[in-house]
Order: sequence, then C-alpha cells, then structure tokens
Amino acid sequence: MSENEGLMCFKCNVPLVPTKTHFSYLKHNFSEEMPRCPVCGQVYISESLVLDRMIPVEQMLEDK
Amino acid sequence: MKIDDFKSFSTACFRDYPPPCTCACPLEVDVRAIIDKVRKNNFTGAYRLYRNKVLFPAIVSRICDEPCRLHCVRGNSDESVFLRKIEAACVAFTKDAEPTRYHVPKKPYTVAIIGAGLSGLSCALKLAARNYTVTIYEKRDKPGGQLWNLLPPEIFLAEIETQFGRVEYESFYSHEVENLDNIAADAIYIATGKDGNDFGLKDGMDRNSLGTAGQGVFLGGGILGASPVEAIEHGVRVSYSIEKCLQLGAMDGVPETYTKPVAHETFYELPVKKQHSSISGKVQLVTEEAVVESLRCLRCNCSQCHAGCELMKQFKAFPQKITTDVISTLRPIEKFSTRIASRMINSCNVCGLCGRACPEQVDMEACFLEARRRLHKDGAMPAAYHDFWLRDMNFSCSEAYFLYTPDGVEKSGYMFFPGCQLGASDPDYVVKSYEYLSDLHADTSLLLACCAVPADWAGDVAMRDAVLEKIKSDWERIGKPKLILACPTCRKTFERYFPEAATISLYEMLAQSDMKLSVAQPGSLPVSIFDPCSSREDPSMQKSIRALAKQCGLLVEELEIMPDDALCCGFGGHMYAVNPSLFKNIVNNRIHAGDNEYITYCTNCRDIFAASGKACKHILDVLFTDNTANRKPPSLSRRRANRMYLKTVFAEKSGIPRPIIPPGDHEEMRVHIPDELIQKMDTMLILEEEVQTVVEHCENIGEKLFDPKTGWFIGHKRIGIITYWVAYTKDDAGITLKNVYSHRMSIEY
Repeated sequence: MSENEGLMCFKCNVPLVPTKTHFSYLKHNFSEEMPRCPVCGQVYISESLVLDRMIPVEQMLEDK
Repeated sequence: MKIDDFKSFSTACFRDYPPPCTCACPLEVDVRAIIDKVRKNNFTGAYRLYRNKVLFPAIVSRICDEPCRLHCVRGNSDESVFLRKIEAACVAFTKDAEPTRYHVPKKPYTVAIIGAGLSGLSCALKLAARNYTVTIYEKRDKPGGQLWNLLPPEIFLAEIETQFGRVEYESFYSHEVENLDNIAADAIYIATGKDGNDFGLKDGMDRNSLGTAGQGVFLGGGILGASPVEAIEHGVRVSYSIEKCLQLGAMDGVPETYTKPVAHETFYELPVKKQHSSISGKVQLVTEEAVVESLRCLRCNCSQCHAGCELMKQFKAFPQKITTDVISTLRPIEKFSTRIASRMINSCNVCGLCGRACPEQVDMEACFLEARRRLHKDGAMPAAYHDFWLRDMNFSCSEAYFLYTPDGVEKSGYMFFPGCQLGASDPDYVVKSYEYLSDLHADTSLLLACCAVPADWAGDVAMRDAVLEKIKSDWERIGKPKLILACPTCRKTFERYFPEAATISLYEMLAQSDMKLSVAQPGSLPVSIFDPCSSREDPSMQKSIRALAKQCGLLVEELEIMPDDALCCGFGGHMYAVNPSLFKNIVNNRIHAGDNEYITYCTNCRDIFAASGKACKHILDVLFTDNTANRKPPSLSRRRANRMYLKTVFAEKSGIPRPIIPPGDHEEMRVHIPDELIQKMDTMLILEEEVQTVVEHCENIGEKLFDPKTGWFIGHKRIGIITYWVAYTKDDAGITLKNVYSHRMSIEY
C-alpha cells in the first residue's frame, strides 16, 4: 500500500516490512500480513485498513 | 426460563391471522394470498388457492352470497372489495384448471354419501381425494341438487365433472336410499338437501362435528338449512369428522374444522384512503379490471408494533419472527446456525412502545432484555456492544459517586437523585435544582450516582444488582428518604428494581411548589414537548412538565404522537455502538417529527437532538439555566469532568477540601486535541484520557512509528477491550494529536 511506504520504526530506525501478524476477536483467530518492524516487531495498521477490512470482519463475527 | 419459552413472548401476536373477510367466509378463503397473486397478474396461482377452499370454483364464484362484503374493512370508507368478481376472473383467466392429482395410499374404508348436491359432492370429493372408497347415492338421475334452481346445468355439471376428474368413486343415480341398514359402508353422510329424508337422525345431533346418534352416521347441508356455500363447508367438515371416526371411533369431529376464527377489531382501525371501485356495475371483469380492484384490497393485517418501530422495519421482523430468531440465537447449532439475531437483540431501544401499541400487549422490550441476559450469561454478548456505557456507569458509581447530606443532618426526608447524565451535560442543572429543593426542604440530601440501567441494558443482572445494593445501603443509612428523580429512566429503573423506595419526579416537586421559579424570558415562538420514552408509564410526570411549561408562559404545540406514544431518542438500550445506521435513522425521524423547538426532560434526548442540529432545551434550561436551545452537548470526556466537578462542589459543601493536584510535571506530555478530533472521538466513544494514555505509553516506552512524509508519530495501545491508535506531532509547541481511531479486534503478536 502506497500510504505505508516510508514508514519507519522510530525505536529501531528501520523501514517496516510485511510480516505475518495474528489477530483475534470473540474467540476467533486469524492472521494477515501487516507492515512490521523487522527488529522489534512493532506493527502498523492504517485507519483505512481498520475501516475497510477490520470493522466488517468484526461485524461479521459479532453476528456469528 | 427455558430457551423455547421465548416463544411465549409472541404467542398473543395475531399477525397473519385471518382478516375479517376470511373470518366471515364459511370456507375461510385465503383472501390476502389470493389478492397477492391477482395483483401480480397470476390468475392461475390465485385460482388454485381459491379452488383449494371452495372445491367448485366455477360454481361458487357464481352463486356465493358474499358474506365477506358485509365485513370488508373498506365498507366503512367507500365500498367493500368486490371479491366474488375477482374470484370469477380467476376462474375465467386461469391457464390451468386441472385438479391436483394426489398420491395417497388407499384407505381400507368405505364411505356412503346420500345425496349428490353440493354438500354430498364436497364430502365425496374430499374423501375420494384421500383415497377412501366413496359411493354416492342420488335419487335423481343427475347430480346437483339445489343447483338446478340456481345455475344453467351446462355450467355446474361441467364443473362437477372437472373437479372429480382425477379421483375414483362410485355413483348410483336414480337410486333413492330408504333404509340406512341397506347401505354397506363404514361411515355415512346424509346430505339429502332441503326437505330431504333425515332418517330420524336430525334430533340429538352434534352441531359441531355434524355427527348423529348413529355411530358413523353424519348429517349436513341443505337439510339443516345451510346455504349452498355453507353446504360445501358442511361437506368438507364432515369429511374430517368421518376420518376421525374411522381412525379413532370418535364422533366428536375435529375442532379446527368447526371453531370459526374471530376477526380482531384492530383490523377495523386500519387507515383507509377513500377509493371507490371502478367495476361496481360490471358483471364480468377483464384481467386489468380484476387487478385494479385487487389493489383496493387493504390486505388487512395487524402492523401496530411495526408501524412505530424503526428496528422492526430495518430487520423486516414481526414478533413471531423475532422470537424465532431469538431462540435460534440463544441456541446456535455448531457449524450449522449462528447467533443471527445478536445484533437485533442489542439494537432495541427497549422503549416498550410495541407492547403499548399492540392490542394484545405483545412486549418485545421484555423479550429482548431477557435475551440479553441470556447472551450475557452464556458469555456470548459481544463485549464491545455495551463496554463504553458500563465503564461510564462504573465511573459514576465510583470516582464520581458522592452522597451529600447538609450540615448536621443524619436523616433526610428527601434525597435528590439527578442521575448520571444530568450533571454530565451541565453541572448547573444539578446545582440549581438542588438549591431550589433544599430551600423547600432544608434536610434534602443528594446522591450522585447512576441508577444501574446500563447494566440492565447489557444483560448483566449481577452488576445491576451490585450497583443498586450500594445505592440502597446509602438510602437506608439516610433514613429511607423519598427519592426526587430528574430522569424518567431512573424512575422506570427504580420502579422495577428498587420498588421499596418512594419516588417523586423533580418536575412534580417543582410544579407543586409555591416558590417562584426564576424563569428565562419565554420566547414568542411555540415549542413542542418531546416526552422521553420512559415517561410513557408516568403520566403524572408528563402532566407536571406541561404545568411547568404553562407556568413559564411557554406556548406549547403538542407533537402528534406525544405523550401517549412517547418515543426513544435513540439512546435507549445502548444501540448506538451496535447499530449506528439505525441510530442515525431514529434520530433523523425524531428531529423531523415537529418543526418547533423541542422541550424535553431527559438529558440524553436533549443532547442527542442538539448534537444533530435540532433546537432543543431541557425544561431545566427554561427554569434554571440560561442555556440556549442550540447548546451543543459537551464531549464524552467533558461529561466525566463535569461529574467530577459536581462531586468537588458538594464535597466542599461537606467540608471536604478540594484535592490539591500537584503542578503537572508531565505538562509537556499533555496532548493537545483539536476540536474536529474531539468530535470524531465522541462518535467513536473514545475519551481524551485514553488518547493521553496511549501517547504517554508510546513516548515513555519509545514504541512508536514515524512517517517521514508527514512528520507524524504513530502508535497504539490496547486499553480494556479496545485497541486505540494515535497519530501525533511532537515539537517545541508540545504534543498535538493528528488522528485517532480504534478497533475491537486484538493484535496477538
């Protein structure tokens, strides 16, 4: 995603790279690739990802 | 309560029960369904439904005396629907008049039908279709009976032949039965017609089953004075009575066949737009005319609850579907069904209007609240639905909780309980009201707390009762004073769960008092009173508001639906976090219910409407404060700060000194939040202190990201069940928030 280009981990001073990340909600687990610091593991989730991907999944799980 | 018991919440609902026309029809023709088909030009489908009930559609559509027209709801407005003409059109225009072929195993019983008039033929047709051995005896040389006096023979003879086309039976014409003993049959139906031979069995009949004193012998039709259509009904009824007799030996018939449905009076209260029929003079209709006439049919059905409920409209649900879905939700079958109605259950404002509007008091509020308790008990309530409000309630009941008693007072006659939101919106509401009340009765105490309704709405009975326990023990300690309540929902909640406390509304106290209320200058424009939903059960509170409005010189133009059908502003039940689109829809409907400025007496109503741009005052604004009707409500964080402020005010009055907050050594860490982001946080239910916590966490631990394009720092932290994301800048001016958002999903590393 172009909006993530250039994002740095401030602690480790390195760019973020797509890395497998695990999520859970209402006892359901899944994983997605997210931009993360290759050194300390800090993750970035953009607002558009929250609105377009996370919230619909949350709603679907709440209806389960 | 067992899960299946939820069905009992909707058993009294008579939606889809027979309308007045069907109830009046001896054959209970399904008028609604037939009209549906005709409207769509489906005469074949309509014909089949019609034939199902009347057996001989070409005959009945010509001779029926139309009892339906006497009961049609349109009759009070313009003209009853010309149903028979529509039915005749179905007969004329059906593309397929072939009777249904049944594949039913042969029954080892013989039934003798004496008389081949409409009644005997109807009974014969029903039993032959169920594959009984049927023998008809007719003294004349042809079937038809009374029909010979009513219709041209080519019509009814052809119809009889058509309808019997797919069944087997035996018939003996020119054969008069003189002695029943000569008939070899397991059951007999005597349908000899008007003035026919009753074989001495008419006396002592069971008029329900149409059974006689003779075992296995039934009697009905014209011989009992039935009209042609009633005679068909007798024949159908007897076919079931005979079946029961053959299978069980009982002569008492099948109750469903002789208990006639009674139309509910509510059908007659349906709104009707005057529209005279265009076909009243016509004998035979063309298809277009039948369709046009069918559009005049109201398709009578009860929608009293649905008509006033945005939730039912959104979920396209009526009570019976609701209870079915609730049961499925509370008992999901793994991998097969899901908690499909969890959102619907939590989208309800629990305002109770449905139970009020329903002629049978079917109460979906009670159903949904009980369902929430179940969900909570099963650990299946999504925490995010009620989380923010439960935390808010806990704040009101701990950090912001305060019991104030005037100096030297140990027992009070009255205790003012303003509720959690009144002071949150504007502390002056509480301060000024209390001042007035304590001038009335100097020993009046004050309890700043929350009535526990958030826990009730979340289905958490234990938490609700724990909060109430604390309130009760303080109330007892102060001498069980009479509670003065400013919020109708506090009153509703205490009436249910704290009934031992006597209560009175603040507004009744004010209206009854002799002291002069300092009022703002009344404007000359009329206002409308918006009664909060929970005031519906409290007409005295509603009256007091009107008395106060009058005392203040307000010109009140009542909203159409108030006060009897008081509506929820959208806040009820916490549905905002569950179903934001429904919330928006509801608020929009409320603010457009009237053009005048609103006066209300629930803080949530006041604040929600004002936030949406509707001019709205709390009655206390008219009495005590100088607030305008356009006052925008404070932010969520400010609402908490207001409650703390109230506590310090009254703590000081008690002699407890204001806590000294040391000068912030974290001043440089204070996050400056621009107004647009405060507004965004309000819609997302995010507090300033949460933003502060996340930023401090990022700064202290150094866990943050950096975007060189914008110069923003980005970080996140999970607090409770929500993960908050912040984007901010940090420079000599300090820390400024640039963006904030949140999600319920948790990040597991």
